[in-house]
Amino acid sequence: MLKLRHVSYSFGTQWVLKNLSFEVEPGEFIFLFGSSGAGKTTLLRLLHGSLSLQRGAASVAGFDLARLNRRMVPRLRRAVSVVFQEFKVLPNKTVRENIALPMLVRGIPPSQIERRTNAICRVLRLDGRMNLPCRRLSGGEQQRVAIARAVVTNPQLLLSDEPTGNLDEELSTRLMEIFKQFNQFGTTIFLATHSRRLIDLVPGARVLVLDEGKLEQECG
Amino acid sequence: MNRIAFLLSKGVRDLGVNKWEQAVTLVALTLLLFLGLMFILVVFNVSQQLMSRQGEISFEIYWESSENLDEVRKQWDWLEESKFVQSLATYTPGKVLDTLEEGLGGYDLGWLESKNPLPPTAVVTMEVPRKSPKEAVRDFVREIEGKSGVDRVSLDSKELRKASMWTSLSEKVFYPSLAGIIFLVAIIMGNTFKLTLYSKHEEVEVLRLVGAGRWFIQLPLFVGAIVQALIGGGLALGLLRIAQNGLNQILDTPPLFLELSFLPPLHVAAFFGVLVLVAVVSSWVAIRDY
Repeated sequence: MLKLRHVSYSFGTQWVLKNLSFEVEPGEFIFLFGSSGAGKTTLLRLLHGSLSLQRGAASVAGFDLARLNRRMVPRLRRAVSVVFQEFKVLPNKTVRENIALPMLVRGIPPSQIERRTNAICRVLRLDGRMNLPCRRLSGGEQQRVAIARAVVTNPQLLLSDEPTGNLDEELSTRLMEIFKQFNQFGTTIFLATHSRRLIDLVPGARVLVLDEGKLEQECG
Repeated sequence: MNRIAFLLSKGVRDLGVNKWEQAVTLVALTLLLFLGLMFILVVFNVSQQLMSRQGEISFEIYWESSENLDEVRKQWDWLEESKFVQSLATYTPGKVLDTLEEGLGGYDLGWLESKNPLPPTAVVTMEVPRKSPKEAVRDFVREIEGKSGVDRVSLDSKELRKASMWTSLSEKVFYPSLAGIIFLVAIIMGNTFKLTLYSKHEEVEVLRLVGAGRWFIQLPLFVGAIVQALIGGGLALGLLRIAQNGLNQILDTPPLFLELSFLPPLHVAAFFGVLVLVAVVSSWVAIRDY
């Protein structure tokens, strides 16, 4: 699913990722653990095609990042979904419209969009809020909308950058349960966090520890 | 096909999303197009006036007095049928003599009738062609001079220079002004569209995150820009009509008697054609980075 070989990345003269090499198998639950500034977000942006590979070799869901051109980025993003700490939902669009977006992009027929949106909203307990604009939802609800939008297309890989950063403990725990649920259905989860508590919530998950751009240890 | 229809309709529906931004853009476009149209209307009217008053030339043709009058009449018929000739005044020797008698206060010149020395003449007023005006007039004059019995053609070269100057001046002013206005409108339209796109920045970012390709993002923006340009163009034409009526009420009064004509239907059709083209180009320039 994910294969990195000697990947390094710099912003100007500052190397933020240094010689990273690891592999992720389909269906795994991986935590990328590290403090602020360790390079987690840069790695996720690289894996999602927001940044171009500078050194090394990497493949994500069958896409060779070294050969990834502008036209191929949307295709990569249709195979790999992403959830950010800051939600990135459209505040003026309804929950239903936000969740339908990736399906519209993929050209899924309206009847199927409707069916899938209803189903995912039931799973994430958003079914009572579907016609509300996202600006009227709480932070936890908006995060669930972002997750629903990310998983509604059954991506091969779900990348998540500090998804619980804006949530309280109770909501964080509930969110991790949701991630585990999708992982059990076969989605590979790659979750970047600085919270040890989150890791404890998913026993058996693999943990990659990133420190100042270097992969320090791998456990689990 | 369904997706294209969906994206096209999305472009129109999205105009209602950020209502204030879209309204401000529409007002800006309408005023910009109105100013552009106003300028074109003025230049068009000035050009029309110049062409109607200055874009023609008159000259006299003298035949040999011995020339058969039937042959001369055939040449007058030929002249009348020429596409350049606006008007033709012809004078037989007898008619010239009558005119002369009138001019002399009824002085009897009847004794000259049997040995009238005056030649048949004609005064030709011709339209100066826009393309190579001097050469076209000279060619026409040469053709007349080549006809049998034509003694000479009296063409004032100063008048020819003046007429062709007005013609080329009107060409030199109208079309470059038009091109300049179109260029200016394109730049301002492009920037207006670009400013409007800032309000859609968030949506574009999210669309990219979920894997939308360029055309999925750009097509609705493109359609929205064209629809807005067309609505703005329609409103601007309406404003122009009102302004033209208002100006005519002020100008078409003594002692000015200036009447501004509205742009002809062909110009209006060309305006919308060019507008669509300009909207396509400027919106493409504005959204190509999205």
